[in-house]
Amino acid sequence: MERFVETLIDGIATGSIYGALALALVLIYRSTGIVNFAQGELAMFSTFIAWGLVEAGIPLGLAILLTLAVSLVGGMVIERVLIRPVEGGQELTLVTVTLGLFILVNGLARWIWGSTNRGFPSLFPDGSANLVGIGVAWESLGLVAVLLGVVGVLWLVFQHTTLGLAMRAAAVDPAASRLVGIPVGRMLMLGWGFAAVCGALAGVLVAPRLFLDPNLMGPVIIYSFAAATLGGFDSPFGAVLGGWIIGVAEALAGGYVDFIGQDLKILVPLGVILAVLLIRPQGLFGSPEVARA
Amino acid sequence: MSALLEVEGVHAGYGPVNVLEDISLEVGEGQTVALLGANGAGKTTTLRAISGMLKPRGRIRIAGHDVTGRATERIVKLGVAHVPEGRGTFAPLTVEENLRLGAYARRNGGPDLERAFTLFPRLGERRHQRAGTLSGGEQQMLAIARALMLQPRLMLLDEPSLGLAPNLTRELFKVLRQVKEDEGTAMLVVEQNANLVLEFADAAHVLETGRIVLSGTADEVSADESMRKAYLGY
Repeated sequence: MERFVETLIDGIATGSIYGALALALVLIYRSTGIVNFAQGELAMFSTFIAWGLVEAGIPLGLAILLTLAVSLVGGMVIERVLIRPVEGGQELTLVTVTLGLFILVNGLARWIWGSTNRGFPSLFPDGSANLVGIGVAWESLGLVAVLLGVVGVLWLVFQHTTLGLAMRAAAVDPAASRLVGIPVGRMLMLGWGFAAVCGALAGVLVAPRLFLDPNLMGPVIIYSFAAATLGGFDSPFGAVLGGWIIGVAEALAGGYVDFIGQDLKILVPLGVILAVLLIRPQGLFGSPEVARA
Repeated sequence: MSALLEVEGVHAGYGPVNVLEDISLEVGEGQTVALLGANGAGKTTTLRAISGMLKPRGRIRIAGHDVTGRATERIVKLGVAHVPEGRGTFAPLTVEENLRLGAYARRNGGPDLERAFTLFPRLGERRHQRAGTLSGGEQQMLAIARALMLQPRLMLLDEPSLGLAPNLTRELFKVLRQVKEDEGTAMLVVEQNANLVLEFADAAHVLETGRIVLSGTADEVSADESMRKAYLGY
């Protein structure tokens, strides 16, 4: 029983990281209709920036905050420079551009930092808290808290500020948004900026568990795609819940299903993606169109 | 004193296809001007050129500012509310959110939702409902109410009665008349229902294949023999 609960908690903690990156995917998909295949690589690049700042002697917390700020600006610049010229183009064009971005960012990271493994410090203390008799690692609690914090902030911005309302409107109908005076381009830039921030968080959260190298986010992005597909590509809450479900499924399958073990865990997200696309393509919380003729 | 909206020698179109040929018209402060003409005459294109949805040649001035080729969202800031053909409401957002967005470009004061609900009580009953679930008539009301949230100096209305039942159309024009009288909002109205709009407008222009072929006060245009035969059908 105790092992089961520990596996569960471990799954939720890992799932929180998938959820953060899935949130980034959802933010961009909602605002621009683009599935950003380069999201993981951008997160990896951000993590390297944080690593560089820490190496330069800046305290970890401050280094991460600075990294988030750089990521915000970086995401906005990428939207303006690379995505804007092809916006509203064919899906294949958009996919190709984000795949190109994937290769570009990965190559850039290799060129700057090389491909050696590096350790990345954890934000959270070692050891565990005792919750009703079960030891829960501080890291697990921290991961869940960070994700909930991010979701809370995004929810407040999108549901309770004029800026967030304008961003939602720009995502729904750019032409009508311009007619009420919304600078649509700037909203899309912000969407990419927010996404880059979520991705950067996922990167600095996952890096201490793995090694930091240019392939850091390779496995994570697959689980995050599964999370976003499961939750519904246009639902932030779906992304979070999807992340948790994927994380738990991965942990349980790895821990309890003998033939899967640690080596075949990657089948879990792929299986989930396939099943969702077959059974409920819009995901758990994705919205099918609500328009009336 | 120059007019609120001045359109001078405007040519516009879509890609290589020119739709408007040398259009000139004015709308004075608080004035209502109707644009009439058959389908494809260029009425919608004229409105789209004014609100910057397409880039015209010629010159368009609003309240003295040259806005030719200016981005739509900046033209809106001058107090121009364009209610497009097909309404352009945000289907997945609620009625209230749609209205708040209407006030997005307003500089002074927050959105005055209560006024919108006084003018259109049905919208008040449905304020938390998604716009996409409203009936066609309610969506048209919402589109107009959202435009009014800007407290516009100039409204561009594209076929406000399209698809509305006659009683709703009457109700809609009653509200527009009230807005015009209470707040002196200038309006440029494209309308198929010429009888209705000529009753309501101060002046009118008739478009034919991208050119203005007849201009005058509403009475003059109604009385014009060729106009009546061609567009009013009596």
